[in-house]
Amino acid sequence: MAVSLTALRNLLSDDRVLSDDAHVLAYESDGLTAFKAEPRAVVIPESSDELISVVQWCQCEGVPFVARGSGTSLSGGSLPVDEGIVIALNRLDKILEIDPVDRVAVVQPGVVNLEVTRAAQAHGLYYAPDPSSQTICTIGGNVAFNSGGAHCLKYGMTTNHVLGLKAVLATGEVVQFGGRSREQIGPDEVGLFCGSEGLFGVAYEIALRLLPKAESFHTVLVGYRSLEEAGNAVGVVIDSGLLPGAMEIMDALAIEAAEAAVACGYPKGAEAVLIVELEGAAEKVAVEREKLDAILAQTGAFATRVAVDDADRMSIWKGRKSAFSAVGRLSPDFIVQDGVVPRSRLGEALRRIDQMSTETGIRVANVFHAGDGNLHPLILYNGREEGSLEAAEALAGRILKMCIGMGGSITGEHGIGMEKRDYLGDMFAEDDIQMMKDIRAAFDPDQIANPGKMFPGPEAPALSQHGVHPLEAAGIISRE
Amino acid sequence: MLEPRDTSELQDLVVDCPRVLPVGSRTKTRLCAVDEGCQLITTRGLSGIIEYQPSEYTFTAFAGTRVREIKEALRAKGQFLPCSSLYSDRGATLGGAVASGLSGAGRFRFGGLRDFVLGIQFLSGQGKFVSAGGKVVKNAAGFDLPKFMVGSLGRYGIITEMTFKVFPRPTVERTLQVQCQSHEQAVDRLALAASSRWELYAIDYEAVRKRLYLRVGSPSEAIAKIASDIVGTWPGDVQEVGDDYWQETRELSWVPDTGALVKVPVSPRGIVRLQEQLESLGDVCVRYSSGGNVGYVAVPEGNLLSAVSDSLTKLSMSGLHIVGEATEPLWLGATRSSHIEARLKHALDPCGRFPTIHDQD
Repeated sequence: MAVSLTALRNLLSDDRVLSDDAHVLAYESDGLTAFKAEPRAVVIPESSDELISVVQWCQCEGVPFVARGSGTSLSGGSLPVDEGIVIALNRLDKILEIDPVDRVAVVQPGVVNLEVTRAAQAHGLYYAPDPSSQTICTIGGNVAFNSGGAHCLKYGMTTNHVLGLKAVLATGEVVQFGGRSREQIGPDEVGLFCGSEGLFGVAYEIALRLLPKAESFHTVLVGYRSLEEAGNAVGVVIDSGLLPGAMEIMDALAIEAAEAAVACGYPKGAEAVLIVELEGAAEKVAVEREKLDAILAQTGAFATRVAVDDADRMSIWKGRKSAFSAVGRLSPDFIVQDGVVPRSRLGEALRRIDQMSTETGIRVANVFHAGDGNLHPLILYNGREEGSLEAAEALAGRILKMCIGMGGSITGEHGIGMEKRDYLGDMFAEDDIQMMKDIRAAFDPDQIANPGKMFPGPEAPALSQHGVHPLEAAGIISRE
Repeated sequence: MLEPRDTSELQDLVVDCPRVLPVGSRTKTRLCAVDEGCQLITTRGLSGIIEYQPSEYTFTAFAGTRVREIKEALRAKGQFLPCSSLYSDRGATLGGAVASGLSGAGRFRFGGLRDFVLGIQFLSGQGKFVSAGGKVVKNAAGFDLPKFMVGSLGRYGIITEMTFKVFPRPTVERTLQVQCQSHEQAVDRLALAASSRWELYAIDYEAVRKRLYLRVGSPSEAIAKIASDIVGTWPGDVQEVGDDYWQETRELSWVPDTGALVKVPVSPRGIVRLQEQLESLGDVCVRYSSGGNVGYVAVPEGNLLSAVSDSLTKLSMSGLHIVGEATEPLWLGATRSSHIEARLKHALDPCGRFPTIHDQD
């Protein structure tokens, strides 16, 4: 890139435009560590005005940019563009407002997900979307990738909790979509912006919907002798008319890993565990827990543990939340997929994954959001063995195609990013993708905002690295 | 008005018409009003539930399917679309509900139509069928065009089919009416109720009578205790009533037959100021729905709308004229327009087959 960074340094202070190798290399990869690319520079704005100026500079100079929060994307969504710049949003980290009457939080994009709940809890409110990386991932990244979590069936994803946003588009225009009302008039531009994977521009102020914290919880951990029994139990719970806040399943391999990592005390000998959580007014939960316990007693479970208090509840969740990083103990490398299948076909999907695993000799651990059919097969491989990554990727591709064939989706919550862009065409027809491209062009005619993501194309960096994310290895983040 | 019998016929008709506005049952009269040069095409003939899988919590239906038909099908399986929608007894279609972006009072608890639509198929301005989203309850693949089409007023494409998420119905529902002495007190109580442990399914405010309406949903064994807790929170001001209020709200039967209706997004904090402005105009009636997040402003005659518009402008608020005469403007109050809006319009409808969102050709 021939463009000088001098003007950029004049916009921000010199120490916030980093271009030496020691600094930029820290940004060469994100949560999808199989990819890396070296950016030309990393820019760290400290105000919305600075951010806007940086994007406008990119537009004027034709420099591609990638906005980045904590870099926890599992789809390579915040992977830099070779010779482009990374706009690190971590210093735009102010919670601008918590309004208990409107039940709204207004935040900057670099605010960490869990901080919103921490700020709101004094008012008995919380922010519902809870990706497993919520202790470190940022709201800006959550908005860009429409992040999910364990409570999506009942509460939806990030997009269901964003009321309005101010953004600088790739054209340099400053726009406001939505507001602080839960209602709006005209086409839902907020909904369109959420999950656009950074291809439209960068949100710099986001109004979030806050919910009242549930008064009471009933969390049950159930052990089964087979994965199929656990899957069937989910169907029975759903058909009963209950609407649990969360339903999660882990298979034996994932349990083994979690047990080794955090000693979560899950039932010994279980081929699968199911976590079901009810929440709500105490009177309501008291009635529903009787119903749930009676249902679960008929599902062939060999062990049942009910959380007796909040600490016990947290310990049940600890095993689940640590599962992915724990799998790193079983294998030097792994790929995590997040395809979705219709819930009633979960059992079939798991059988087929098991079959593929046996055929290929590649181990697969399964952790998934059973309530909404969102699979998270962890495909284990050793990147030091030649061809191992490619074989794991081939298996991941087969699983994604299986999800599409079953009427599901290639991604439930991680986004397409760099990783799944070659499968977009398997899920959508040519005219559908062309429409998406036309919409992208409306926001970013020069294709400078996060190029090379979502759409199949020639801009992908080479596969070059593997391994667990450094933060994951340190136990700071985990994958949903 | 043209009424194609299937999507293929719809496509043929659309490519033959230089200017088109899709409609459903035309229950939202102002949203369907265009000049003579624009051809109305109703999707009423594209009707029927294509797929309903109760165990998946999803259904897929053609755009012309009546909302009432869907409600009945869901009820038979103990499920519902929590956000419901307006005018269902008058024959409103699902496509019309989505295009107009009009969720019912039940949007308070779990969200509106935008939060329950999972997938969509529409006919673009170029006469091509486009699909977006999916048919499973969780999906993050591609741009979220299903949400964008909520409130798009038929100006960006013709919705032909949609997939929705649904939820189990609460076993029992009750309605409690809370008499307030002032709008300020009503907002305080509304905020308390909205943040409470009660998990209310709906909170509405009837400004003219200064009454809050709370809908409680719960298993039958628990509802009495929750209702009793609410009654005890504001002693003497709470009484249990029937569900007439919700019926009136859903069917908008409280709006004068010859009057006009405007939808105004607001937040609870904005209610008092909006009321002060509108009450100064005289014969204006407002019901706030969705926990104080939308005001439905009714006037007995259309000529009051310019004054309503001025009031909204003073508060930097906007309104959408839903029911009323074509002679009155579609948008009221602060104007909305941006370059990106125009470019999006061009992306979806490059030849300008549909009117613009501002009702211009």
